[in-house]
Amino acid sequence: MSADTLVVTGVGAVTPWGHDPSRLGLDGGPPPDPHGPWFDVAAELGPRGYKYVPASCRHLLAATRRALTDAGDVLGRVPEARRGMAVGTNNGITTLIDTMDETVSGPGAARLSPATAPYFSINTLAGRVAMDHGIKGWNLTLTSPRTASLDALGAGARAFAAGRCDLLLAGTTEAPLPGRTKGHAVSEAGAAVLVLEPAAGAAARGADHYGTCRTVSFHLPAGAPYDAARRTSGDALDRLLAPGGRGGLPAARLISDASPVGAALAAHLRGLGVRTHAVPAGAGTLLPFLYVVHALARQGPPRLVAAASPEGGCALTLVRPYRPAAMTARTPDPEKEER
Amino acid sequence: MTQVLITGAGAVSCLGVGVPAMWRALCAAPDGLPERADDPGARMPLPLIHMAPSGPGPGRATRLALTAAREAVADSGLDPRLLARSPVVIGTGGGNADHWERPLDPARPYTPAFTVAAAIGAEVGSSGAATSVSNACSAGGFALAMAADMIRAGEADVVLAGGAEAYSRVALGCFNRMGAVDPYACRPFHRDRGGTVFGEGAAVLVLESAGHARARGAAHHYAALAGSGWSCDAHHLTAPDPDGVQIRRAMTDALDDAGAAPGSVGCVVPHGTGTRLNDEVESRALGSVFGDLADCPPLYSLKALIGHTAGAAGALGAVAGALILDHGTVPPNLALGADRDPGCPVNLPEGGEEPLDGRHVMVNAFAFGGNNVSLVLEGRAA
Repeated sequence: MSADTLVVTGVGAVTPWGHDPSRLGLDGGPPPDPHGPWFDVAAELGPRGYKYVPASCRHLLAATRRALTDAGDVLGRVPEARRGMAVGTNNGITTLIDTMDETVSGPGAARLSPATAPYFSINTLAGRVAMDHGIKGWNLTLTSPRTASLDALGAGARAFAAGRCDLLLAGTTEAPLPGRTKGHAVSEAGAAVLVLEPAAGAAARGADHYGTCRTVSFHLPAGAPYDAARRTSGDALDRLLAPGGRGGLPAARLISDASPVGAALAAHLRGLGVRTHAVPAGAGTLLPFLYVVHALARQGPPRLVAAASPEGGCALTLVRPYRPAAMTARTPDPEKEER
Repeated sequence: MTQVLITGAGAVSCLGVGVPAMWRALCAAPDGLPERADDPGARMPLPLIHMAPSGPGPGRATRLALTAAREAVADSGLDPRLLARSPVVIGTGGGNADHWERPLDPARPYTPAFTVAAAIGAEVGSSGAATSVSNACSAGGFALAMAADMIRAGEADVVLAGGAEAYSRVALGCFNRMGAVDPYACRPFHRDRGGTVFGEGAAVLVLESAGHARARGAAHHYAALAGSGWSCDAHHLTAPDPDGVQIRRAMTDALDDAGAAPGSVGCVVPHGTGTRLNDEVESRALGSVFGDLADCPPLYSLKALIGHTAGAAGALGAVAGALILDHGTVPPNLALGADRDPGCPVNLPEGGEEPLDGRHVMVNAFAFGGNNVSLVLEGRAA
């Protein structure tokens, strides 16, 4: 591992599956009820200051706090202008937009809450986090269907490699879709954040790390010949696995739906020799990222996380945990876990 | 470092369809006023917007973007086979707002709003990643900067990048609620400006490594995208940090990235939205980068003509900047005369076209969430 390799030194998650990243039961069937009482805003963020903050932003704030706590003294060592953040979300404000639209087209815009109005812009979710933690280097919000959270890892790593930051926070957040919206039944809720820094920096401050993750995104155009599409998937896999090549291929979790794109990517991965377990996708981009977080937190062998959207977007993230054996995650607060 | 060239451009806005139409309008500087949104659900005092030509039906932002993308690809002269692996990066604040605003079609399956980039990827049949960037009003600028980083990193030789924004009832309603809409027009640097006025639009650029362009015998390039600077205020959800430190850093980082001195900048396409604090902060930040008013390069105030096109603004600004470099001319600004705000000490030439004096053009795009990006375009060597 070279000195400038990005390593994950902090992991944070708040989800209906629980808040311990190493114990998320993601393979246990349909996601838990996203509307359930799984998130205690006062316990996570404090009793005041978040009344008008949308749920997805609260989730992201809480996951960020957990990740930074987990990472230890990292912010104090990196100037504000050298901190970057990339966040992926699809439906972080969908319900808010729906509620606002009901107001605007009903009683009128004058009845909108001025405290909530700024959040019509989806990048304010990450913008609010930047305000809390002095992230002044840059802040990206990615919204590509389903792959946005993995795209955030890729875009963040590219910006780091271009010298745009010394510390990267990458994450995702989602909130349930409106009840009357198609797709509501597979709504997602929750957030997760990773703290990434160069290996040399982590070593210099004596920080332990979880491992590395790298992402390659690509597109499978509808109607592309099978061989060409399979070559695209294979090229993406090769870019991830280089320089070691395809020896000892990691097992994959593919988060997708019944669309032709998902089926094609599953067939490609299996055809390339990757043991691929398909996981039904939620409405957003949370689930792929949670698989990344979980693989890092519970350690074990390298794993591949794949995501595909009906629109053609695909992403592969290779997770290489640092320790092959299971380790105890540092994040969870046992008291909070009981709530 | 790999040089990134702009070898094709496409644009659509209230000025019309196509880059030639846009340049003709910039030079003519028509004094167009916004219209009232043709939307019975727009229950707000100032439902003002500059609409862009687009056919009917859902997916309005996608249709605008596709119009621009088709023009850009044709303009570049690229064989479509050379786009087979090209990534697409599109900035959009609200995506296809009509996918999630009322009345929703109960028969339509759930469709995410942010599908513009994917639609362009599908249109050109590319296997490159289609990335949607939603950094609000700086999204198009960030998309171009990310695309240039992809080429510099060796991930791609050609990237289609830009921005698109269509009418959103909710966005306009929220701006009304925040008192951020001017009752007359988008009037950057005007002493009586009362906010901004939205505009629809899209711009897509073909960004290409110089080596790739040379190898295929590209006939023309407008300019190079020589550098970008990114920053985040981390100060307020909607208002810029009054100290302008991060806006200034975006500009100076972009100059450093481009290897350009402030004195080589012959024109700035500012963010300049017409909101009071925004224009003041940007004016001061420009002064801190370029020096006294006498040393400041002329501004070209694009939003005075097309309104604030939000996620498309940085990309349309880049098209304007590329055209300024290509023609060697700065178009005339809409005249403010005695109405110019003395609190905004900027060089805003009026009255006629001016020859470009400098090899670089800077384009600024700032946004809610404190997201700032500056681009530096470089003209062809003499």
